[in-house]
Amino acid sequence: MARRTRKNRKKRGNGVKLHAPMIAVLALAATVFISYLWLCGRCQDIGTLIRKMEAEYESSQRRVKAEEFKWSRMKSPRNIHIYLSRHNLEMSWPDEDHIVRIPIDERRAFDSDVITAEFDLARTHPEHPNE
Amino acid sequence: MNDRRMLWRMALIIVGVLCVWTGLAVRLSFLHLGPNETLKERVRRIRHYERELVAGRGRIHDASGATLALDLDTKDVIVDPKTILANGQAQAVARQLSVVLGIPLSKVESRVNRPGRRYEYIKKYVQHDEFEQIIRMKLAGVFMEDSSARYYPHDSMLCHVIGFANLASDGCAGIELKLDRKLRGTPGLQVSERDGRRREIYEKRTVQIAPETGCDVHLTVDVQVQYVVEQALQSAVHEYNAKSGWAVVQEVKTGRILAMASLPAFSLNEYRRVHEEELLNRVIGYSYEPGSTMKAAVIAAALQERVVTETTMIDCEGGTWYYKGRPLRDFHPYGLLSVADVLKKSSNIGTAKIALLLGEKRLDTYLRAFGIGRRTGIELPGEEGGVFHARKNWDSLTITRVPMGHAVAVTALQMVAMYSAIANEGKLLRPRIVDLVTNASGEAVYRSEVEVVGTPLSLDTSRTMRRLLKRVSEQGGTARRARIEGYDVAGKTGTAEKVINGKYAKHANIASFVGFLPADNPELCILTVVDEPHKFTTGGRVAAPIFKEIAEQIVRYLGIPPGGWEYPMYAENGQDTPAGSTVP
Repeated sequence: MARRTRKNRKKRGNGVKLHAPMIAVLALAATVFISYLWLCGRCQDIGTLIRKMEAEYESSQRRVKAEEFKWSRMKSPRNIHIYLSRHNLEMSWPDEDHIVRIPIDERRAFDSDVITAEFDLARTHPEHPNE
Repeated sequence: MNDRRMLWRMALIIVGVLCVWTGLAVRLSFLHLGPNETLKERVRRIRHYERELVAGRGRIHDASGATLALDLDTKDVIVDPKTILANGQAQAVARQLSVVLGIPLSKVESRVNRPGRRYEYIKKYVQHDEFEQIIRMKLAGVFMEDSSARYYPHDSMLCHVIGFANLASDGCAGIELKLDRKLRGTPGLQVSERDGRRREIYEKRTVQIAPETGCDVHLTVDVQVQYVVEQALQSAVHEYNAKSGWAVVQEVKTGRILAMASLPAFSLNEYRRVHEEELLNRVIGYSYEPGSTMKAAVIAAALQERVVTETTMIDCEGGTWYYKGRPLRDFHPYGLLSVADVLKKSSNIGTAKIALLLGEKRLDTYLRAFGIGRRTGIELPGEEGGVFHARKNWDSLTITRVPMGHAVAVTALQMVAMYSAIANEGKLLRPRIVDLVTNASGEAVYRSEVEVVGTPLSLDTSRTMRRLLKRVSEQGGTARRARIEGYDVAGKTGTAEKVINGKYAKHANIASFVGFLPADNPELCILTVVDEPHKFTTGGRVAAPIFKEIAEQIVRYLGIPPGGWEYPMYAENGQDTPAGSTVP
């Protein structure tokens, strides 16, 4: 007589049906929990980073202001005069006969923007008349 | 038997532990869920984090963009003597702080050697470089607190114009006071919770309002021009051992003030040590009898009214003339002088006679049309209106005294505005010192424009006056020392005796010169005043050379050609005819 090896189908079926949803729910809960923990940690990290960057920004701003103050002080006319005197340099504004004045109608010809524009036009459109 | 006893013991321990845990759980539940409001509030208060984000005041810039005033983040250096003494580091800490902060060692030591104290200020408002050094030293028992203070990179330059803000960031003088509401920022706010180490928990931040820095103010003043003016004034005050001096430079066609200096001056970074007298901006806050500089207005009015022409001859009575029984004298005796020469030679008698021809009513009307007796409306606090009595209060001599600059008091700004009007085709402009105000995002919230207050003179009279005033700086005129190589200068000297204890003092003068250049196409009007000069006392000898020294450098710096600019520097608000009153 052959040994009966087949299990009770009814019993086997019932066991599987009961465990699958529970495992799914548990897995889902675990996933949500782990995600929550991960997100929480991530938020804390980002928060710490933002606070650090805020502090760095404030510190940089402080430094910029301090440098601007020093720069303004350095280039004040009085300071420049002191530095020039220290190096025995005497400077004065140019005399009238040292200045070349260009009449307003001729000024266009010396305007660097106009010259550049005309140069670009001549290069890109060689056939285009300049005037 | 033993097994059973063991079992009982185990059960007892388990029950005991369970009881303890249950007790703790119940207590915890009560704490969290129970009606314990006081405790909850205490916890909430401990965890609550609120920080006001300080908004700095806006900056003040000059016309070239140079920074004149700004807020700096500073720190207050504090020590914990108890900790330092416990570490036995008192000497070392005191020495290092003394070197970095530049405070006498004994002073630092006295603060550090206070056993039992935990909080002692060493220095307030320590600047960035110094506090960075202290941070790097990592001294135990030394800590810092954030602070902020207003700083002025140019120190005493423009001190009366800029003014200052106190430690509470309130504007107290000058532009800082006048535009305090605009310069003042809006503070921000952070509301959050803090952790066990008293650090903010960022994720719990519920409110984040960024601070808004105050508006930036751009002035019309140029620091280079200001420097030239201050240097020239300083050396003149020193040379003539004068009590004080003041000067102002205005663009004739726009009313923009390019420089405004008043001596004695003070350091803006040490405003707490200032004497009251040094705080006075004499250009706007000091009324003085102008002397002969007033003559130009009277002669201009007479020419405008066609009472005289420039060639009309006036008898100057040989130097002394009695009017209503009171003598009137000229500095030098003259006989017959044309109106043009009355101005050139600065004859008191000639000008008084011209005023009599003009009459009280018209004299009063014209001087008021020139702005005498009322504030100019410049954007600075503390402006005086001068003294110019109502016509009904004049006595019979007033009409002969006002033309020579007595019985009337003006501010330097009124005088420069008047001469600018003579130079500017008869149009009186409101002097302005604030050019632009921009908010934190750089948008303009205020932009000043050319404002014509009135037109006391016609174009023809203005041109005639330019010509007549030009003669004053020529050979034989009183302002020869104001002449500049290559440029025509028009102007008038003034020497007035000061009124001390109700009487004119013979040895206390106010010497002044007001002029514009180039004479035919004026761009700049400059006024220089020296109070109580010694050695020399007249406007021509004392004030005219200051004008020359200032004007010589400024025309080169600004690149003003000898004939003025070829094109107008401004548009008149798009109006064909300027707004404001016109003298009938």
